[in-house]
Formats: sequence, structure tokens, C-alpha cells
Amino acid sequence: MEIGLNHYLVVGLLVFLAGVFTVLTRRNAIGVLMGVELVLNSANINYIAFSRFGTGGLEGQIFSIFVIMLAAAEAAIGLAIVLGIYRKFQTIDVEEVDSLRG
Amino acid sequence: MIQVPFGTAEWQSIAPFSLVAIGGMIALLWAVFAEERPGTTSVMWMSQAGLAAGLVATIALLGSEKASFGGTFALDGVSLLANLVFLLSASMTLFMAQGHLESMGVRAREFYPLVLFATAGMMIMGAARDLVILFLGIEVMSLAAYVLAGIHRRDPGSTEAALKYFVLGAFATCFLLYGIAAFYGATGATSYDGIRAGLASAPRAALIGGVALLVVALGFKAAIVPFQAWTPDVYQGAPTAVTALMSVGVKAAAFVGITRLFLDGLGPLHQDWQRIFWVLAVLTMTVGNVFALVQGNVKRMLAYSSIAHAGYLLAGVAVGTSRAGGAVLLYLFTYAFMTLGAFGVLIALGTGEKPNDDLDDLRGLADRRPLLAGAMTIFLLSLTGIPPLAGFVGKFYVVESAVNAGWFWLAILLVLNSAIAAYYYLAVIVAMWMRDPIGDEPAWESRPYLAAALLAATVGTVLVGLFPSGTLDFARHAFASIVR
Repeated sequence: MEIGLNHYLVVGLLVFLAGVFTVLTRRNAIGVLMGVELVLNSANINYIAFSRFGTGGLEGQIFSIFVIMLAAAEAAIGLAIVLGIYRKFQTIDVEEVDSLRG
Repeated sequence: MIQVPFGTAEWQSIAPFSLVAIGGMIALLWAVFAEERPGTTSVMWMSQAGLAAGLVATIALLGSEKASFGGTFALDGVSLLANLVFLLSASMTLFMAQGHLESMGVRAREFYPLVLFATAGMMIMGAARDLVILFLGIEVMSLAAYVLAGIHRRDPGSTEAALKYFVLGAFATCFLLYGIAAFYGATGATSYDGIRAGLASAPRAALIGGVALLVVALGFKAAIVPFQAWTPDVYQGAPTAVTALMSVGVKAAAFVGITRLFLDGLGPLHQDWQRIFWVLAVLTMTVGNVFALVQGNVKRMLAYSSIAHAGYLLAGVAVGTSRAGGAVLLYLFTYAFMTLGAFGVLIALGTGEKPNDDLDDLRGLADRRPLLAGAMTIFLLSLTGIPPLAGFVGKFYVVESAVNAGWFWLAILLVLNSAIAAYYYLAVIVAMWMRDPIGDEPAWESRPYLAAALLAATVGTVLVGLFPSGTLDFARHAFASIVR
């Protein structure tokens, strides 16, 4: 069987769903960050697959490099924020960090 | 091989945001590496110079209509007028933050350059005619905004606001990327021109999915119901100057991005997204207003009120004509002055120990600080939409464009919502002018920069309200070439 566009899209979708599930269910802030990374990479799989099999040309591959760069920048800022949270709250459980209420 | 043209149009179109970004970098490097550590005031002025350079470039280019980088980056009336909104709100934020952050014990010089980086991102968003550029603009803006929300590191509220903003913002980015992938796969392009050209032959399911994902992602940035859950907490927890920038600059950038994307790139799909936006607009303004009614904290009340205003703006987007596009842009212009002003007054009330931003803290303010109470009254009346202030013209032209296009129910619901909003804005005015103050007078400091910014906001609120036609004509004309 030839591996085609749809196979990649299914893998991408599975990774996307796994990432969204992780973000929504994890209470550990680092776990949430890892879920975000999964979703970013699922989008990357789609870009590369469309670039390889679709009509979009090289754009998709270039875009995936942009996304990788963004993921690095976002992780740096995210981890810094989580570190700040740990210093203030002595926990990185996102549900316990909830002092702002109306 | 991809050909990247680089001529005069390209230089001109990147000049405004590049100058701001370079100004930010110079200010940042200088704040770090100068022989003697510079004071915050000098870093602030240096950052203002960067904004001024961007402003000069924007004003010099006013009137030009050029597509650059193969039509993926726009230099037109919309991007230039949006630049004015971003630059003015950033500049006023810097003035308002001066003294305010120090009195809270925040001596972070990086605050000022970060505001410039966020502004550069907003300017990219306002000019993007390609989903990839839009994405880059959003990230440049958001990454700076996450840090800004948490700039008060010793305050648990500020740190918590940064975490919430970051997690939900990063999540929204994921939806954005997946939505862009849907359009890229379906039409083979990410530029608005390419997407328009490829829409006809694209599979419909992918397009609908893509529109839904983009609405979710941009809805998060613009704080549209049901993606607004983060807004009150983040706006309340962040230092007030940052809240002002988030509720004006970030929201305005999101709306310029939404307007250009849907009216231009996805214009042929308008029957699909107009219905979504109609429902979301009504939901957003109603939820924002109803929750604002029960807030005892004025900062949190303004956060909900900014959600309501997002609903009014979205109503303009839903109408989708060039008149409505112009009205949205004018609304952003008016909204910037009055919202910055209202947050500025809250900044003025805060002292080092206490923010003093509960409704009870504003009681009897007219006796203690009549000028401040007067300015706040003007901003609140303008937010309510009382003529002849700026807020009235903004709302009026959105309603007018809705009626003009036959969207009567949307117009009626918008007006009804403004009536609800009057209740909680007037409650603050009544507290300031007709109630007796509680407790001792706080030890207010005099802050000349903040006073200047408040004066500018007041003058802007009144002047735009009295003479809106120039801006309105410019904005409508700018959108005439976009809505095809």
C-alpha cells in the first residue's frame, strides 16, 4: 500500500487530538506546555504533507520552520512564567493557581 | 524557486513597524549595557523616540496604496490608520506606566522595549495579507504581551495573569495554525489573493473547518464570547498599564486582523461567516454587559465592558460591507482614547500599597480630586455612548452601517445593549459625584506624565466625537478597495 496524503493527515489529526486532550486534562503546567507542543507539531505534519502532496509548493515547508522557531520562543517564555509561578505559589498545578476572582 | 521582490514598496511597507522594533532593540540594549544603569525615565523617552519614528513614517506614508512582497503585505489606508491607533495607545501606555510601575516596586526597564515589540507585532497584524504574516504578527505581539502581563513578578496576581494568558494564548495559536493548514491544504495558498482564487475549487468541508478554527483562534485574541474566559482574570491581575495596552492595542490589532482577513481574503465565503459573527456578536455584547453589571471592582468591570465593546465591533464585522469596515476602524480609534483614559484614571488612584480600584474607593472622588473625577466622567459617558463624545460616533456608525445593509435586529440588539451598559457606567459616575468618601484619603503621588496622558485622552475623546468625519471618510475609503 502506498502511503499518501490522507495517512499523514490522519496522523496529524491524532497528534492534534492528543495535544488538545493533554492541554484540557493536565493540571501540571509543564504537561500543558507539552500538549501545546504536540498540537504545534501536528500542524507541522499537515504543512509538510500538503507541501509534498498538494499544490502549495515549498511554502508549507518554510512555514513549518517558522512554527518550529515559534515553538522554541514560546517554550522559553512559557517555562519562565511557570518558574515564576512556582516561586510565588510553590506549586505548578494550574487549578491551584487561582487567586483572581470577581 | 520563490522570487522575493524587494523594491521601494517593500521598504515603505516595512518601515513603520521596523522603526518601532529597532527602537525597542536600541532601548533594550542601552538599558542593559549602559555604563551607568539608566533610570526608567530615560528608557521611557528612548522608547517614545522609537514610537515617534514609527509615527513619522506612518504619517509620511498616509495616502499611499501599495501591495508589497507579492501582495502579502499591505500598505494602505487600513494599515496606516491602524498604525496610528497602535502607536498612540502604546505611547500613552508608556506615559501612564511611568511612575506607576515604580510605585509598585517594579523597576523593570524592559517594560518599555517590550511595549514597543508588542506594538511592532500589532502593526504587522494590521498589514498582513497572508495568513503566515498574520500568524507572525500575532506571535510577535503575544509573546511580548505574555511577559508584560507578568512584569510585576512579586505580585501573585500578575504572575497568575501571565500564566493564564500564556496557556490560553498558546492554545489559541494551535487552533490558528491548524486553521491555516486547512486553508493551505484546501486552496494551496496562504496569501489572501491565493486563497480567494482557490476558494471556488476547494473542498467545502475543509473551508468550513478552517473558518471555524480561525474564528476560535482570533476570538481568543479579541476576547469574544465564548472564548473570553481568560479576560477578566488576566485584565485584573496584570498591572493596570499593561491591562490598558491589552484591552486597547491587542484588541484593536485582533480586530484589524479579523476585519481584513474575513472581508478581504474570505470575502467570497461571507454567507458562512456572517451568520457565525452575528450570533457571536450578540452573545459577546450581552454576556459582557450582564457580567459587568455585578462587578464591585472597577478594573474588572472595565474588563467585562471591553468584552461588550468587542461585541459591538464584531457586529460591524458581521455586517461586512465597506461602510461597516470603516465604522469598525473608526470605532477602534474612539475606543482607544476612552478606554486608555479610563484605565489611566485607575492608575492615578493607585498608591504603592493599594490599587484602590474598587467601586467603594471611587466614592466621593469629586470632592477629593475633582479634575480626575471629571476626566473619568468624560471617559465613562463616552463609553456609554453619550453624544457628542467619541464613543457615540463609534457606535452610531456601526449601527448606521448595520441598518444600511438591512441588519435591523443586529442594530436593535446593539442599541439595547448600550442601554444596559449605561447602568454600570453611570453607577461609577454616581459614586464619584453623589456619595460620601469612605476612609481616609490615600497618599496619592503627583505623576506629571500620567496627567499629560490623561489630558491627551480627554482631548482625543472630545475631539474625535466632535469631528469624526475626516477619520470616518478616510476609513471608509480605505475599506472601499478591500471589500470586493
